[in-house]
Amino acid sequence: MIRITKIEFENYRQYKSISVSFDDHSENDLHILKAKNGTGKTTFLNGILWCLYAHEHYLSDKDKALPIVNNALVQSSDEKTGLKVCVRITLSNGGETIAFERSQMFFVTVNPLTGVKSAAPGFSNLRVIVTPSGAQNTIVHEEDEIVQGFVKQYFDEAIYDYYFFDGENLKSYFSKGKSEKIKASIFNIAQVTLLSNATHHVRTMADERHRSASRLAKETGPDLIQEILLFEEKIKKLEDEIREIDAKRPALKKKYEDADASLQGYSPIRINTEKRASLERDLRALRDDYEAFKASKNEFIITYLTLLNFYPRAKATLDLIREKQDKGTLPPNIDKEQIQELLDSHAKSCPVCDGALDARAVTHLKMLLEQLDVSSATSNFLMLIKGSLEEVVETCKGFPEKYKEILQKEKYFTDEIAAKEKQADEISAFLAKYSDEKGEIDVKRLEADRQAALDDMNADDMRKALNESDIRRHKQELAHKQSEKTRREEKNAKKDLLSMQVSTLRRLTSYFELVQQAIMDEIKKDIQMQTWKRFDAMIWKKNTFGSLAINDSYELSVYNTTRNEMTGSLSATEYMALAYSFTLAIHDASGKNCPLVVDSPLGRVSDDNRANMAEELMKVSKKKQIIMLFTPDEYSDEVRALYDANAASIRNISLSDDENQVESVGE
Amino acid sequence: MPISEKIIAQINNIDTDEEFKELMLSILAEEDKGNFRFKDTYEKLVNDYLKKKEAK
Repeated sequence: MIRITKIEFENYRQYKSISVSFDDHSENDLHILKAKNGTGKTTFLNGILWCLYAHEHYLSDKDKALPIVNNALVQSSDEKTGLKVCVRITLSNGGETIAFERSQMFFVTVNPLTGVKSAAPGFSNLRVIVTPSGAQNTIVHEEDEIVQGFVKQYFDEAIYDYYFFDGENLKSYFSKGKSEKIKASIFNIAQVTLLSNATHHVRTMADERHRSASRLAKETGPDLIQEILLFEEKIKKLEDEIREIDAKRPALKKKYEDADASLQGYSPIRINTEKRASLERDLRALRDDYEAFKASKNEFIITYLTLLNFYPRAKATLDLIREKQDKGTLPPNIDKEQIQELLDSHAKSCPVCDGALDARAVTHLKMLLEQLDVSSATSNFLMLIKGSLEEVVETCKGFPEKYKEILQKEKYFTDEIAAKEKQADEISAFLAKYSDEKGEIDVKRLEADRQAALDDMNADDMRKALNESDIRRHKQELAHKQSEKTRREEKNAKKDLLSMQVSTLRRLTSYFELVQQAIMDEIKKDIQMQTWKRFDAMIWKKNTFGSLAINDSYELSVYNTTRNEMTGSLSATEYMALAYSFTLAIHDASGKNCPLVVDSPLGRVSDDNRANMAEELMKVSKKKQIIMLFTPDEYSDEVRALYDANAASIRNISLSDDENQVESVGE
Repeated sequence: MPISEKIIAQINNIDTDEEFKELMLSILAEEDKGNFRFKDTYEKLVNDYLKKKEAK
C-alpha cells in the first residue's frame, strides 16, 4: 500500500513552517483535517499539487493570486532577499520511502512607483529521494526525466483529480476528454501500456527478421560433404602412393647400388663402368647448373619484357629532349629575372631593342613569364629524367646481344647433356649385351638389374612429383570446398536462427496481445463492478438505479431499473457518489493502492446520503489511506459520530491571530 | 516498477513452457526500463531462450 507519511511546508502561502505526519496505527487509515473556510484547506491540497506538478490546479484565478511565497515573510524582508519555498511529501510503499521535494526561490522586489513589495520567482526544482527497503543510504534523483517518471508512476498528473479530489469541483469529472485521460492513465498504471509497447517492439523485430530471413535463400546444391570426402580420399590415395614410393626406395636403391658395385668391381669392364660413373656425375652437375640457368633466364625475360614494352616511348621522349637541347630551347634561355625586373621597375623602354614598353608590350612580357613558369617546370622534369631514359634505351639496345648469349648458353647445356646421356647410354647398352667366357659374374643380369632399379627409381620420382602436384591442386580445391561448406552452413544456420527467432517473436506478440486484452477486460470489468457496488452502497435510493456501464473509452453511464440511461439526471449528491465510486474503483483496478486526499468530501451531500458516504469511505480507509479536509459545517453530527471514534487522526488547521500563517495543524 | 501481479498471473496461466513465460517476463522487465536499445537486449533474451530449448 502506498501512503503519505508526512507533508512538510516551508513558506508555502500561509503554511510558513508546518509539518503534518500521518501515522498508520489505527484500524482505519482515515485522517481528518478541519478548518474554517479561508484558513487553508484548499491551499493544503494545492500545496500537494504544486509539489508534484508545479501547478496549483485548485487555485480559483492563477493570474490574480498572490505568489506562493508566504506574503508576511515577503513584507518583512528587505528588497532582493532570497526566500525559499519548499513542500515535501513523503510516501511509504512497502518498506521503501519516497519523498517528493519541490523548492523554489523567490526574490523580494519593491515597485519603485508604489513601494509595494512583491516576490519574483526563480526556477522551481523537484527532486525525488528514495530510500530502498531496509537500506540506510538514499538515492536522490534530480534529472527531470527520472523525476517526472516517478510522478507519473505514483500520481499521474493527467488524472490528478482522482488522487486529490475536490468535492466542490466535479464539473469536468466525467467529460469525454477526461475519460480518454483516465483510460490512458489506468493503462499506464496497470502496465497495459507497457504490454502494448512490448508487443509493438517484438512485432517490429519479428517483421524485420522475417524480411531478413526471406532475403536469405536457403542454399542447396551439390553435396559438398560428399565432394570434400572425395577430395580427401584422393589426397589420401596420392599420399599413400608417395609413402609406398618412399618405402620402396631403400630396397630399390640397394638393388641399384649392389648391382652397380658388383659391375664396378669386375675388372674386365672397369673402364666402362668408371667412364659411366664419371658421365653420370657430370650429368648431375650439368643438370643442376641447367636448372639454375633456367631461373636466371626467366628473370632475364621478365626484366626485358618490361623494358622492351617501355622502349618506344622512352626513345621518343629522349629524342624530343635531345632535339630541344640541340635547338637550345631546353633548358629555356630566356632570363626570367631580367623580364621580372623590367616589369617591377616599370621601365619605359626595352634594354635590348630600345622599343617602347607600352601596355601591349607589358602584357606580352607577363604572358611570357607565365609560359616560362609552366615550361620551366616541364623543362626541369625532362632534364631530370633524361639520364634514366638514356639508361633504358641503352639497356634495350643491349638486348639482342644478351639474348643471343642466353640462347647460346642454353644450347650448350642441352647439347652437353644430350651428348653425355648418349655416351652413358652406349656404355649401358654395351654392358646389357656383355657376355664373358670366364663367367665370374653375370654382367648382363647385373646390368639389367641396375637399369631396372634405375628405371623404377626414375619412374617413381616422376610419379611422386606428379602426385605432389596433384596433392597441391586437390588441397586447394578442398580448401575452397570446405570454405564453401562453412559459408553455406553459416548462411543456413543464420537463416534457421532467424526463422526460429521469428517464430518465437510471433508467439511473444500473440501472447502479449492476449495478456493485454485480458488485463484490459479485467480492469474494465473490475472498475464497472466496483463502481456499481460502491455507488449502490453510498446512495440512499435503492429502487431507482438498475445498473452501470463503462464503455471501451471509459465513459460511464448509469441506468435506471427500466434500463434507461439517466447519467445526465443525477443529483449533485448522486454525482458525487458516482465520482467517489469511480475514483476508488480506478484506484483498485490499477493494482496500485494510492492514497486519496479529498477537500470538501461531503459538502454537496445531504443528510442520509452523508452518513452512507461517510461510512462507506470509512470502510475504504481500512485498506486505503484517505485524508479529508472538512469545514466545521461539513463535519456534521452524523459524520462526527462516526469519525471521532474511528479516524486515525483528527486535527484542526488554525490560522494565527494576524491571519498571516497557519499556526498549527494539531488536535 | 515491478511487473504487476495481474500481468504475472495472466502469463502464468498461459499454456506454454516455463522458459517461455520467463522470457515474456524478462522482456517486460526490459521494456519497463525504457531501454532504447531494446532490439539488442530482446535478441539476446530470445537467443538465450532458444539455446535453452535446444539444450533440452
